[in-house]
Amino acid sequence: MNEYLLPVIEHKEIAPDIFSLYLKGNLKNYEPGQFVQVEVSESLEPFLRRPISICEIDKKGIRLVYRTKGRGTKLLANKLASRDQNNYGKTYLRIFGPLGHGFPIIGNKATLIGGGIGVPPLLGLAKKMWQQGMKITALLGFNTKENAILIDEFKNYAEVLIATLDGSLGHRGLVTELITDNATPVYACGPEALLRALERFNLTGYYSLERRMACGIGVCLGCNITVLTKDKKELRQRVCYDGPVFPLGFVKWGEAGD
Amino acid sequence: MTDRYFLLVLLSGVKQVIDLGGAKLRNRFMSASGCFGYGKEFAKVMDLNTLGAIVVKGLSLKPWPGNKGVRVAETPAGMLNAIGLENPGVDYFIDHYLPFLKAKDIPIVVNIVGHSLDEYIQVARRLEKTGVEALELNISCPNVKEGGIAFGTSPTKAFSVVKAVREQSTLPLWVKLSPNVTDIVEIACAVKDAGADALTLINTLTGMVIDITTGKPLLGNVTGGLSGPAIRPIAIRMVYQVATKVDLPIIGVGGISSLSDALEFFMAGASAVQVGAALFRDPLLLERLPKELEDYLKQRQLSIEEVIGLARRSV
Ligand SMILES: Cc1cc2nc3c(=O)[nH]c(=O)nc-3n(C[C@H](O)[C@H](O)[C@H](O)COP(=O)(O)OP(=O)(O)OC[C@H]3O[C@@H](n4cnc5c(N)ncnc54)[C@H](O)[C@@H]3O)c2cc1C
Ligand SMILES: Cc1cc2nc3c(=O)[nH]c(=O)nc-3n(C[C@H](O)[C@H](O)[C@H](O)COP(=O)(O)O)c2cc1C
Ligand code: FES
Repeated sequence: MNEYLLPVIEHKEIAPDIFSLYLKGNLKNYEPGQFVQVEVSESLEPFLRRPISICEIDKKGIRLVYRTKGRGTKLLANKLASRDQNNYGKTYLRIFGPLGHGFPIIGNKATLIGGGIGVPPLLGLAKKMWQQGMKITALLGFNTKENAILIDEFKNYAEVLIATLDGSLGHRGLVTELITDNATPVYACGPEALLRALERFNLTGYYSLERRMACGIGVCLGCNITVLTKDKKELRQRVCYDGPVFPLGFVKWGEAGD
Repeated sequence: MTDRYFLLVLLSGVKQVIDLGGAKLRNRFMSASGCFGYGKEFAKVMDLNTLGAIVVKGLSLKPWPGNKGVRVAETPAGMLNAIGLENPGVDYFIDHYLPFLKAKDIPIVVNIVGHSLDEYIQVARRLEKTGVEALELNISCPNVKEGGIAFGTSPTKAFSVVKAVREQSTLPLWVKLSPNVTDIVEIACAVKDAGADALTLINTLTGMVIDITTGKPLLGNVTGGLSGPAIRPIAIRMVYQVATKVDLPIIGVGGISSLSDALEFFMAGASAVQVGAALFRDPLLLERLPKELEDYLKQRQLSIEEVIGLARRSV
């Protein structure tokens, strides 16, 4: 992990309120599932950085896909959108990372399960697995067709199945309804409700968690959760440092978090 | 190579030593407790030896689990935290973190907490002869139900806990005060009378945010401690007031995010400073500050002694 000041080379709205951002550069030893702390303001307001997953890293640069949710991300999007396209490369963004531990890749097949804004980090994972010759199925869930993102890009690496809540694209219903008996191992990222729902299936694999963070580097203990070990002992873990990826089924929910 | 050049090289290699209530520091910039863990994480991103000292997260006798629910919230120019002093206990620190820190070339200051007078004493005793440079007695954490701030808001209680630890420990004793009081000078005097060697000012201010979508307090602990630039003017005022009335070295902390912020603390009367929440937005800040101060002094041909307390001498 390190501090980087990188030129923004692309910033596009790929769905309502969802932006794809490319920074020129590379992050050494990046593992899919890791994130960066993004400085949204050079002044002291908003004060904290925002944790955003690395979507992928390729020849072009480091890609982040983020949704404008509150003050900080809206500020970021406005700042970048107001710049003339021709000035890309002259606008810089400060990031710190890569942070946390990514998804461990095991075996020769995998099912990736993503919901909403949890989908982006799975793209870098799909690409890495594909490069290793694995057989990948991607189950992606969105609210509506309008919110669906990155589908064509996933198709380069995986067999893709879509679910939308209103049925405007793919299966009508929840993404978990697409899970088959031989889905193991799964790699999931998305809203907490999705991650918890996965625990009701007979599956093994990994899920990536989200918690409010201050430091993002493991020193403030703002993001601590309890994780169960294989022999059912309770262990305190920092989502930012020990996670955000944890073995499926081992998180003790509902005690720290939103 | 001329002799003169050789001498310069030799001199610049000599480590500066600053005395702070009997503790020897490398420079005037330290981490604030709870914002730097026990050093292992930051060691991966910066050279710990650039710190004047490392002040580690508060330690109790037994491990504390901390608070449930949301623990951090951003606020205007700052943040609230309600960690609740989650820590692995002093023995775990001694076995698992201290050897790592001692292998570095850096003074170690241990922030200690307790639910009771006895717990403070026991933690302090455990740290005798372990090679730590000083104790920082935290009588000011707003996020635990018993102990902590309860000791820091009453002059008599503050006196008793400082005196008890003073009698049981040979280490330099810094006492970290709470700003959640009407008269900080009164507490500072009591703590001095009890035998403190230095004062750390300030810990966080109690605050609260409400999530208007749920109508509930956002933090699991309901209230939390405010830190960051938002509290700096309060911290400056308190350092200034205490420096005027109490003859003890002061370590200033609260909202420092740049050299100019640190200079305000020095001018108010602090001999050294700590940096906390600003590290979350600028993790390499502490690596830069000592050099920036050196350059500042050189440019203006000032000594740090001339800067410390400047604002008090000029009114
Ligand atoms: C490890 C990790 C990876 C993430 N990856 C992505 C991603 O790839 N794309 C994406 O769009 N979002 C991602 N998020 C969520 C993103 O961090 C939040 O949506 C964002 O911080 C909200 O900031 P804001 O300025 O919009 O909201 P504000 O309401 O202004 O935020 C106020 C404070 O609350 C925190 N906060 C608010 N909501 C969340 C949340 N849901 N999770 C964590 N912190 C929150 C903010 O960081 C900030 O400190 C990730 C979160 C984590 C923890
Ligand atoms: C996440 C967090 C944890 C903290 N933990 C401790 C602690 O364990 N002991 C202590 O004395 N102060 C603790 N503090 C208070 C800081 O050391 C410091 O006094 C305060 O945050 C003001 O400085 P700042 O504005 O630079 O952060 C903590 C602060 C934060 C933000
Ligand atoms: S956010 Fe600070 S420890 Fe995880």
